[in-house]
Amino acid sequence: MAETPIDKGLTSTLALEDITMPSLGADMTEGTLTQWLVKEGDHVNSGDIIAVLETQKGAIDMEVYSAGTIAEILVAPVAKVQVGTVLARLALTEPSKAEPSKAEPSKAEPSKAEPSKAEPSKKIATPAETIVATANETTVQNEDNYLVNEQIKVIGINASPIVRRLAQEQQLDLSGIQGSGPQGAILLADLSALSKPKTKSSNHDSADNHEQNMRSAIAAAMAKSKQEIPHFYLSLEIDISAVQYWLQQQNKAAPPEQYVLLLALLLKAMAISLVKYPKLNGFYQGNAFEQASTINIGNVISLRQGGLVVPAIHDVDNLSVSELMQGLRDITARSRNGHLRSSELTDATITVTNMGERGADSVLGIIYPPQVAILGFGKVRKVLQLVNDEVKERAMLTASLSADHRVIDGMLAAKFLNHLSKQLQKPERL
Amino acid sequence: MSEQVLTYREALRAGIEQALLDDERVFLMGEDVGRYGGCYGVSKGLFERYGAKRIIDTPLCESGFVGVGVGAALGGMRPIIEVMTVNFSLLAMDQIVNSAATLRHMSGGQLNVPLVIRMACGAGLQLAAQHSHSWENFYAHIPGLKVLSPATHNDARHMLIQALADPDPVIIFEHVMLLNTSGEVLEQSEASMEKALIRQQGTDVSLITYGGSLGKALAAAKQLKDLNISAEVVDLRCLRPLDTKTIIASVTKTHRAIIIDEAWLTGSLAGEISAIIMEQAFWHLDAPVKRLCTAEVPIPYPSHLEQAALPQVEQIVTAAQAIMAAR
Amino acid sequence: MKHKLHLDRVHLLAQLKQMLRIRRFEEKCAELYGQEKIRGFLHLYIGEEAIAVGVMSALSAKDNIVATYREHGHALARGLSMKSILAEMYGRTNGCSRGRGGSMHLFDKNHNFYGGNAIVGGGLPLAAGLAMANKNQDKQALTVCFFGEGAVAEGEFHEAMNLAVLWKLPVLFVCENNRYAMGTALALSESETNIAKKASSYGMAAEQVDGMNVVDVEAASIKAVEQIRQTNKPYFLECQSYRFRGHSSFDGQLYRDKAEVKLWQEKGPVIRLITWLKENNHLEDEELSNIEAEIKAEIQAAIDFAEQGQWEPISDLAKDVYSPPASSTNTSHATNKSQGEQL
Repeated sequence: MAETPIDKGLTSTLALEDITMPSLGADMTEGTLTQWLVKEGDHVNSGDIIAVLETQKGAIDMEVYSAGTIAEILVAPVAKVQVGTVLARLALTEPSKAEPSKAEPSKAEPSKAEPSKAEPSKKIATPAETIVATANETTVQNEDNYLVNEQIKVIGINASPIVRRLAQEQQLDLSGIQGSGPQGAILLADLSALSKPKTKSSNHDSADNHEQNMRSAIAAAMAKSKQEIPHFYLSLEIDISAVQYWLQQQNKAAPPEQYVLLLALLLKAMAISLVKYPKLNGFYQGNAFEQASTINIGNVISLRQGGLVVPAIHDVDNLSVSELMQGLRDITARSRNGHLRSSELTDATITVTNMGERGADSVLGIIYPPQVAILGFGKVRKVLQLVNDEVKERAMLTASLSADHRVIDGMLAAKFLNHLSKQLQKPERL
Repeated sequence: MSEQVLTYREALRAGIEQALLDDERVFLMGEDVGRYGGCYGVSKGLFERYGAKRIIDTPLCESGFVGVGVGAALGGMRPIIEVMTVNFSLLAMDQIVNSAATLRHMSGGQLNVPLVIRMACGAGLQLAAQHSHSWENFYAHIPGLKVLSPATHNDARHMLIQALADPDPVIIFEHVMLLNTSGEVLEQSEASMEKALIRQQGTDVSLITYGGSLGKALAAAKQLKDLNISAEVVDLRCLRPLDTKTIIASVTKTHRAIIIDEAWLTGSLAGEISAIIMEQAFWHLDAPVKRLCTAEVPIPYPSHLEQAALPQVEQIVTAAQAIMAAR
Repeated sequence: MKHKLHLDRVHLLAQLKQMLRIRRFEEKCAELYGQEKIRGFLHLYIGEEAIAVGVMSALSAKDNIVATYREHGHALARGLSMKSILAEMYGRTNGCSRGRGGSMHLFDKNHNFYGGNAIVGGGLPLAAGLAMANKNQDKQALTVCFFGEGAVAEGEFHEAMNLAVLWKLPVLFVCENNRYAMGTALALSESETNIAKKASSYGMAAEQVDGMNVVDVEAASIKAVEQIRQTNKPYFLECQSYRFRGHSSFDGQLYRDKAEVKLWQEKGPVIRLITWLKENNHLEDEELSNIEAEIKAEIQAAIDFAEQGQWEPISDLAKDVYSPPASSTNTSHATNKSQGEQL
C-alpha cells in the first residue's frame, strides 16, 4: 500500500469520516481492536483491510468503506470498545456524505497514534501475496525504519513444504500463523499447535472461551429467530443426475484444486430462482419486508474448532459457476482462520445450509434474522426410479425451504422450489 | 533358523565359499587372493581348499584381470573378481564401465555379463590418500551396473550369492572398518539385494545411509532417543538401483532427512538422494534435507585428521537436533 | 578339426569373392554415409580384407571372435549376413545388435562374434577372458582377437599378452598393422616397430605375415590355430597391411602422402589375387563380372532390408540396460550355458 503523506494544503478542504467499531452481527455489542494495519498518513481505498478485530466469532478483518487518507488514529490496540466507538478518522478523497462526530472518541485510552508493527496487508490477503514481517518489540519510529527492518522481512509465506501442502488441502490461511522455524518458517509443529487448543493461541480469551462465546452467540441468534419468526417448511426432492454428470465431465480433466463442487451449481441455480422470486431475498425489519437489491447468499460453514460462521458470497446471480466456486473456496479458507471481512458476515440476504456428503437426508434450517428464508440441502442419495418405463439409477437431493410466513406464503415457496429444480435439470445453462 | 556370530571378514569368506561350492562356474580372481590369503585376509585358506583353478592369483594389472573377468563371464563362467581397493579399481574402470556395463546394451540384449567385482573401500585405517576412499558413487552413476554396499554381517554373508544370481555385472563394496567387527549372521538374507532396509524404526527424522556409516547412524539414533528424538535409520544396501520407494516412504513418514555418506560432498550419492527426495517427497518435508559427507580433502594420514574428515556420530546427533529444534 | 590349406581354384575364387564382398559393401557404405543413411563413425577396412578373410577361413564355428570398431569385414567374413550388418548401421531393429550399436558395435552371439569393441586395446583382456572360459569349461574353442597396431601402445595390450602366456590361454592375437594409429605413424608411436617381437618377448609364439596376401594369411592362421589347439597356448600374428581409406569417413589424411597410398593400393589384396588368378588362367572376365553382379545384388538386397527395418520405439529406450528381472534370471543363465555348449 502506497504511503501518501497528507498534503497539508489540501487537508483543510477534505471532509473527514469516522471509522467506528462495526457491529458485525445482530448480537455484537462490543469488539476488541487488536491491531492496526495502517498508520496515520496512509492512503486507503474502499475495501482495504485496515485493522484486525477480535470478536466472539474470532479475529475479523475490519475494512474501510471509503477512499482517503488515515487522518487520525484514536484508539490504540489492544482495546475493547463498544460498537460505534470512533476508532479513527479518514480524510476522504471524495466529499463525504456524513459529518464527522464531534470527537469524544471512546472510553478507551486514546493512543498517541502508534503506528502498526505489522506491514499493512494488501486488499485481499491471499497467502502468497501477504507480506509477513517478523514482529519485534521495538516500535517503528518513522518510515525509514521500515527499510531498516527489511533484513528481517520475508516476502511470501515462509513455510515448510508439508505445511504448504496441508494448507492447500485444508484451505488454511498461513498468513496469521507465527512460525517457529528458521526465519520464522511455519513448521508442521506450528500447525499441530493450532489444532491443539491449549497450547498456542493468539487470542486473549482462551480457545475454550472462544468456542463458548461463539456457541452462546449462535444460541442467542437462533433463539431470537425461533421466538420472533413464524417459520414454515416445505421440501422437494430434486433429481440432480444431470448436474452430477455435468460435474463429472467438468472435473475429469481438472486438477483437484480446480474441481467444481455441487454447491456452486446449487447456489447458482438458487440465485436464478431468486431473481424470479425476489420475495425470498431480503430483510424483515420494523414490521415490513424490504426486498434486497442484490443477491448475497450466506453460507453456513462449520469451523473445525466448533461453532459456525455464515459469510456471504455477493451478487451470486452475476457470478459464473467458476467464479462462484472460487468464492466458495475463498470464504471457506478465510472462515477457518478468522480472516473474514466484516461485511461478509452482515450482508447476506438469504442463507444456505448444505449438509454435504456426510450429512442427513434433509435439513430444515432456522432463519437468520432479519432474513426471511433459509434453504437447506440434504445429502445426495442414489435411488432407483422409473424413467420412461425403465428402472434407472438417479441421484436425488432434498431441498428444504424454511420461510418467514410474515412475508412468504406456501404457494410462492413451492413455486420457488420447483423453479429451482427446473434450473438443475440443465446444468450447462447455469 | 540358526544364528551365528561371525566377523565381517568371516562372513564374506563364508559367502565366497558357499558360491564356490554351489556353482562350479564360480572362481575368485584377484591380486593376492590365493597364496597370500587376500590383502585383507578375506580369502584366507580358500586357495588351499579349492586350488589354483578356482582361486586365481593375478599379476598387478587391474584392467587386464578385470577384463579377463568380463570375458570369462561372457564365456559362461561366474567370476568373482577382487580389486584390492576402490582406488585401484580406477585402473580397471575402462573394463567395468566401457565393457561390463555396456555389452548387454550395445549387443542389443544378446550378451550379458554375469560378473561380480568385490572391492574394499572406506577410511579409518590411516591408509592415507590412495587407499581410503568411498567412490561407490562413481560406479552407482553407471547404467548397466548394480552396486551393493553390505553394511551388516548378514549382508556380508549373503549379498555375494545374490549378486552371483544376477545376470548383470554387480559391484560389491566392503568397508575396511567393518572387517574385524563381529555380528549376527542368519541362514539367509533378510531381503532381495536391491531392497533398502529400515534398521531402526523412527518417526521424527530419517537417517539415510549405507556401508561403513550405518553403525554411526544407529549409534546416533540411540543417543537421539535419549534426547526424545525418534530417528529412523535407512540402510540403502543397494546404491544402484536405489530403492527409491523405501527412501520416500521413510521421509514421507518423518518429514525430515539426514543423509550420511562417507563420500565427498560434491557430486555425492547423498546429493542424488537429496534430489530424489526433493522430486518425490518435497511436499512432505518439514525441513531442508541435510547431507553429512566427508570433508573435501584427500584422506589424510594422521588419525585425528582422518577422523575429522569423516562424518561422525556427534555430527549426526547435532544435525538431527538442529533439524528438530523447532519442535 | 584340422584345416589344410587348399590352394585350389574354387577355394581361391571363394576367397576373392569374400574380399570383394567386403570391398564393394564398404564402398557402398561410404556412399550411404554421404547420403546420411549411416551416421556416427564409419571406419572402413578397405585394403585390409585379406586379414579377416584369411583368418576366418581357418576357424571353426565354435571359436570366438573379438574385433574392433573397424569390423565390417570381420563380421562379413565370419558369416554374419550383410543384411543384418547394414541394418545395424542404419540403426534399425533388424540389425545384428538390434540397432543399438551401429557400425562400431556389431555383435552376433550365434556366430560367437563378440564385437565391435571401440575402446582401443579393450578387447584384448576380454578375449583372454573368453579363452579362459573356454579352457576351464573344456570347450575346445579358441578365441581370436583382432586389434590394430595402435592398441600395442596401450597397457591393456601388455597386460593381456602377459596373462595369456602366463595362464596358457587359447587365444590367437591378430594384430592388423595398417601402419597408422588414426594419423600417427607406427614409427612415431612405438620404440620397437616389430610388433611380433614385442609379443615374443612375453614368451608367445609370434610371427609377421603379409597381410595383403590372403593366401599367406590363411596359411599362417591355419598353422597358428593348429598350434593353439595342440598346446592351449596363445599365438600372435602380426599382419602387415595398409588401409586405403582414411581412419574414418571424416579424415583429411594430412598425415600421409597420396603417393604412399597409391603405392600400397597397387599391392592391394584384391587386385593381387585377381591378377594372379588371371595370369594363371583361373579367372575369366565373365566370371569376375558374375561375381560382381552377385555381390551387387546382395548389397541391394541388404539396402532394401535395412530400409525396411523398423526404428525402435522410444518407449523402449531403457531396454537392454539390465537383464529382465527375477523369473527370467535363471533361464538367462541356462541359455548362457547351453548356448556355449551347443556351439
